[in-house]
Amino acid sequence: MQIAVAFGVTYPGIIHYGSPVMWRCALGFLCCLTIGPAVALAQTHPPAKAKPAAAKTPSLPAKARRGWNQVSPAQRKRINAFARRYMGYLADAKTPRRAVRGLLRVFEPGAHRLTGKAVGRTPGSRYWFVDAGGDAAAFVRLGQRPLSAGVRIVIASVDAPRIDLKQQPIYAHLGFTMLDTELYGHLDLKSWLSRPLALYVHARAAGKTIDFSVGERPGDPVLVIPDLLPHLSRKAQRKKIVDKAERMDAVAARKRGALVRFLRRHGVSRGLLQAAETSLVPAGKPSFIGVDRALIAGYAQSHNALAYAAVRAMVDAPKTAIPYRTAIVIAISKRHTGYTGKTGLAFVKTAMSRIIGAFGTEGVNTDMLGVRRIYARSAALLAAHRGGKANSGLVLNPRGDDALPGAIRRVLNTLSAARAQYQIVSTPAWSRARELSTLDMDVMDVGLPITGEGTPMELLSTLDLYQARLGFYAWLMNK
Amino acid sequence: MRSRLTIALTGALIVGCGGKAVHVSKPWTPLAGVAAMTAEYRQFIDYGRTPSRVLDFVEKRSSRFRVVDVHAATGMRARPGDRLLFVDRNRTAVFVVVGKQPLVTGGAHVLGAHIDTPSPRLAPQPVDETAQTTLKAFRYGGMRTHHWVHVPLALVGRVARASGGTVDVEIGLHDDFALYIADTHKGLRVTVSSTPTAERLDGVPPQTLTALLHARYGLTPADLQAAELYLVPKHGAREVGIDRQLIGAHGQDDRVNSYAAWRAVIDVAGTPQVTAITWLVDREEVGSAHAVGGRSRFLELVYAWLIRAQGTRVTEAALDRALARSVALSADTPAAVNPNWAQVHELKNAPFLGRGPALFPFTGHGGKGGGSQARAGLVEAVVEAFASAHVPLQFGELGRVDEGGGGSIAKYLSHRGMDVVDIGVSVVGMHSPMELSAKADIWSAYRGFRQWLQQ
Repeated sequence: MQIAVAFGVTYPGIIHYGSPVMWRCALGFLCCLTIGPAVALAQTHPPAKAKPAAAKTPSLPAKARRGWNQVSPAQRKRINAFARRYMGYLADAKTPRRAVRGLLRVFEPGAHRLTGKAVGRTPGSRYWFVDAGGDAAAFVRLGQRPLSAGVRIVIASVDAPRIDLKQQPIYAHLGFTMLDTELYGHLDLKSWLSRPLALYVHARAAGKTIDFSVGERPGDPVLVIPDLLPHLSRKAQRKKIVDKAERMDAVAARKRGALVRFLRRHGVSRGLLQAAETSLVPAGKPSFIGVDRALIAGYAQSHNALAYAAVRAMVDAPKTAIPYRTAIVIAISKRHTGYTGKTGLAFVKTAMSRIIGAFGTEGVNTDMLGVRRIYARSAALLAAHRGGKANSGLVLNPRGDDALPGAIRRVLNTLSAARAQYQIVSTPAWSRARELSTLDMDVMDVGLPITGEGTPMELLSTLDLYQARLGFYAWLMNK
Repeated sequence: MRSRLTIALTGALIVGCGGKAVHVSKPWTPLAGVAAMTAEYRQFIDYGRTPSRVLDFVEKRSSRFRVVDVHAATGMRARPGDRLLFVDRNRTAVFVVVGKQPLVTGGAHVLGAHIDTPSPRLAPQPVDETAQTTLKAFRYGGMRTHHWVHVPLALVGRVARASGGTVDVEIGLHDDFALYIADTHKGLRVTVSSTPTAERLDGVPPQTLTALLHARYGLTPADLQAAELYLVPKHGAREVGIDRQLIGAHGQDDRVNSYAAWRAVIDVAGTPQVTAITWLVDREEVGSAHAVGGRSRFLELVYAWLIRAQGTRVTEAALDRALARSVALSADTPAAVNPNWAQVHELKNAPFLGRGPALFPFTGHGGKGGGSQARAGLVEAVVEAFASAHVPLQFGELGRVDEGGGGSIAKYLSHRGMDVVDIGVSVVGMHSPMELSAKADIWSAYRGFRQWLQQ
């Protein structure tokens, strides 16, 4: 009863992890899980008298074979090559807008932009479209079967924790020109101190787009949020290194005029700055970690890695290998506001409507019943960060997404068939997959084991990254 | 502006690719201005990741100086105007421009600065033998652990090989990989690899740090027992702020003042009245002890050598007299006001970035304990020297009373009977991988120090 209520109120609204509704539901749910089976067992098993039948006792699932020991030298080379190309993408995926642009660069060659006009429906052809805002996109590859057979989807949110500027950010303070900041997402604040940061500005003025960054090229100046020295930090930072987020303002220049002139040179007046999207992100490129180059340190990896792997899975498929069902990758970008907004989870439905309008059997005239049937026969994987161990493959969390056994089995079988390594974790966090599946789709969480989420340099294993590519390929291509 | 940057980058590249040898060396030329100084300073910081690398850099760029072996019986002469360089254990160096007055009667004008800086250092038995995927490190100096987590790191330093000779090691600095500390729950554990370290059945050799150290330098794990290996940020010095007025880099405490003090002494014009000395020391961040620290009698050895070389018998009394007549500036790094944590400073008496080098009449904590306090006459003399060179100078203290505190090598210089005062280029975010300094301050310190030595 309580669970039904929870589903009823959550989509398309938001449920906060701390909300009483959620916890009540979660508790109720847990009770069902723990007490239910116990009661059932007590009632149905008669006292054991006769010897059990000769049938072999089923054993626990064999311990999964995971990690680098399962990787052949040839596959190791493929993993490394894939990682290098991914790092090229990641270097420029510092904001959602740039990430979408980067995915498009991967997908675009040989693909068509989906416009309002009529399109061909040749199985195997690829289409894409980007939301007008530029921070969400859908990538489509038509399958052998019509849409009415359902589709296979991968959804990933490409935004990452970052430091945004306030609307009136520039102020002079104690000999510096500072930029006043606020936070976007959950940051490990102390790890953002005393390291080089780049500034990204995106604005629109008089119908023109202004989009630039400073700090990324080796000759660029950078911005820094300076930490306190240990000599004077004993009292001020005794309880917490960063006691309030208002301390996260960045040193932007010595002279205020220099900063104002710089912005104006790029077409950003003070008025325009108020309306602009302005972010501070870690400056510089990702780097391999370790002499074996088997780990990647970089900013904004946790969902970007999944988005990239999914798009690459689509692009890497040879022309002759046509997916059984239509394959769709949707990049959204408002994970850290709770998936709200036009390009949050809402974009999934927007994109699906557009795709059904273009490729559905009756095009835009596909009736409600037809549309509902497509959803009912579709299944999606939703990128999520749910812990897991490095070098142990993709992370699945059935406890979080509460998918139905059949849906879980389908994903497990797909991954196994593709020899993609995976691990199952049990994280209580309530997944957005539950909300998304109210579209009447099967939706499951899939994640990568990332170390240091919310820090400027997250760590990801190249082995795990490649499992996403293997897994998504099978998910999007196979029956 | 761009061409200047290109020069700086090319320089760094040559320095990086060429290891320690020839590419660092450059014949002496006077500094053309702030831009040229900044370019050289960035090379100095990017190459000088460890004390011994700093020494390599300054030795190879001090072509007007004669390197002196204090143990050699011959060549013991020091005439006015001679430029001499004394190096001990490749960690500490004394630059001397012999003055017109003999050392015993005239003393010397001394600049002391330290070339070590806080960062993680590898433990003596760093390799975890079972997995070999992590290295154990400890904290060298007052580093703050959280600054070193989630940062691409490089391993730089020197190893004394069991079979003899030393090797300079550089892993990750100019490679396409880095090292990384993921968390500090079990101490400082540095990830160096993550794939299996056992030999594979199909004969593919494992890629481990041990294998790389052997392939690149012929080192074995046993060699690492006698090593001084530092972890440093992979990123080098950057210009900070849109107007490029600041430099952000690791190790500026106290390499910024070491640079200014070194550059000042090699640029001393003609023959000064009083002998000019710059002493670069190691081990300040761990108490200045050691044969190469500020408490080392190496300075006395150099003094004795000079006194003898000037034709005077070296007695304890002569040495004490020469030291007592010497006046020193302890060129260490003060803490400039941090705009996000202004509360720890008393703003009337705190140094600000860009307002010139800061003079600290006193250091220490809890009633100036463990620090040093300068004589009014000396403070006035320094103020005059800087004023005569038209160099801005500000006064400062290290934070509010009882907020914390710190010291420098000043007290150790004063233990010798020298007059000492602390003065130096200040930084924001001291002991972090990205300390901020102002280009203008470095330029001012350089000119002020040079004036002080030339007087």
